Amino acid sequence: MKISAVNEESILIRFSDDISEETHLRIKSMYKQILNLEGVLSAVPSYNSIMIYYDILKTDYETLKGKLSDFESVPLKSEKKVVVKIPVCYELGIDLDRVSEHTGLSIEQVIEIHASRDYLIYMIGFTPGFPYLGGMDERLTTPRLEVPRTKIEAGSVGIGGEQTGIYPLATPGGWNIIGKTPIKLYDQTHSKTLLKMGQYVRFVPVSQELYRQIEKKIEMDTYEIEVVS
Amino acid sequence: MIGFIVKQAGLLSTFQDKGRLGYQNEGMPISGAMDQEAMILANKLVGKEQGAVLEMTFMGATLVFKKDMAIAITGGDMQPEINNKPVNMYQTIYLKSGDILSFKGLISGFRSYLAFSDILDLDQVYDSKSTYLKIAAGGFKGRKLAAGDEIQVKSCNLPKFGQVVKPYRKEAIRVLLGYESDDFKWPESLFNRPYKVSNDLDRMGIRLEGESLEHKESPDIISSPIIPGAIQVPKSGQPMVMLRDAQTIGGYTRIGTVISCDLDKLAQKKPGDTVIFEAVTLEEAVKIKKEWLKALNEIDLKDDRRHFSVSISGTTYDVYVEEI
Repeated sequence: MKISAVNEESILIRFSDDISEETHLRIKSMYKQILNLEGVLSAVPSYNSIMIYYDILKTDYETLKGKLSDFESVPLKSEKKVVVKIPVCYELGIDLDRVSEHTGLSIEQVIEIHASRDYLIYMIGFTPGFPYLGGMDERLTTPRLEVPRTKIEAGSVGIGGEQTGIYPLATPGGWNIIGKTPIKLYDQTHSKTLLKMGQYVRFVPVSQELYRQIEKKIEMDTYEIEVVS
Repeated sequence: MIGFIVKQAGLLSTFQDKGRLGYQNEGMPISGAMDQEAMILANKLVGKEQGAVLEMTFMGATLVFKKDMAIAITGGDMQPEINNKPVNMYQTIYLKSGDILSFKGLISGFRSYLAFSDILDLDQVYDSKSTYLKIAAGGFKGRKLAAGDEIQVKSCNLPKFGQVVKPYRKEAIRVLLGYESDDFKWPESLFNRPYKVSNDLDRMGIRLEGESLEHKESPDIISSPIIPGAIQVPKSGQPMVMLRDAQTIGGYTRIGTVISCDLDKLAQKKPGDTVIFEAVTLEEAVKIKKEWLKALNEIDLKDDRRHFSVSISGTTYDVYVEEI
């Protein structure tokens, strides 16, 4: 663990130089403790580091560094796995053919493999509500589009290289779009994000008809997102 | 009730406040006024400790006031005028219903700040009224002002008159060399030489052109949190300083971080301007910030005028008397 001053009111703690579930668990446990420290204003966990913003009138770099070093010895507590079910209509995946062609798998196989495991959310960031997901099946690896699209619709589920993810907002993007979810990862109406680091995402294939029904329920604020633990 | 109507919106006029620190774990940028000092002073001059101000970029807005209130203008000088007559910046200005505020044109800086004594009716998202355009959150409908917009306000008492001297700012941008500076061949190349502000600048960041900063190996890192002020260096070797709307996670090596006070100075840089970085230690950076906070706290709003309310035939008039 390396602790460094970023500027006069922020600190970065770096763990290992790779992405692993073990590091993730250490970060998750430490993140919670950090939020309780005197003078801490904000903390941002990520794959292998945590950024901390603090109030220089309440604490200082040396004090925080000392407290953070003490945390290192605190053992990890194993926690219940929380899985958020995300309905995905794969029929709306405009690049499924491309992924199928590149991987040599049938479209049905692509969908089956993609929806067959739970993906750990390593961190949220880049844009509000965007989950960095781990652990996609290597068989699905497909390079990004050579020319990124100028607009990807919100809710698009994609594959970019070895990663899979969901676009929370309509943005430009170069991932292969394999499906779409009506779920809002960033809910503009209520100004809130859905997913949290440490949870898991499970993609549940749904028909276009069911997709429309869920979409309608979300509009009317009557849809309940299924969370299992 | 309507406070003012936007006649001309300017280039990029958005409402901003101190920002939304505390939600970066959800991917929310901090946002807020690009020049925080200018915002704080403008607010003080209208009798507020904090509140949303209008941040105008490069070109000022034209506003028609629909009720009496006080305003103050700070930051970049766009030559403000009331009813086509020049008015001073950095002082309280009392407006009457029907008054028109306009700006003749930018002559210094890049962003101007307008504070109001009334409370503006704006969208609050995650504890802040700052506009974040990318997700259309906060401020006035999550967007920049447009001609025809009507801003609703809640009346507040008029503040007493005040004026301040525009604070002196040291030209150099002070930087704490970073935890990743070892990833560069000659990190000190960043300092004491001019970088030019490119055309590629917005509230998220500013791309600079100048001495190329060579990486020892790859410019890419495992994506990790970044803060406003972070100087990211992509493969081109040309530094990019992240500003208030910086995304929360970034994937390029950071050579160092601009100290928080000096982000205000970068907010006033426009394309073609020069930026010179200077190295500071952590101790120096802490001292600078503490002195800055203290100076703002103790600021003396010089008031040489006396204010009287005079009632004549049922109408109340504000009268200011000053020695000349």
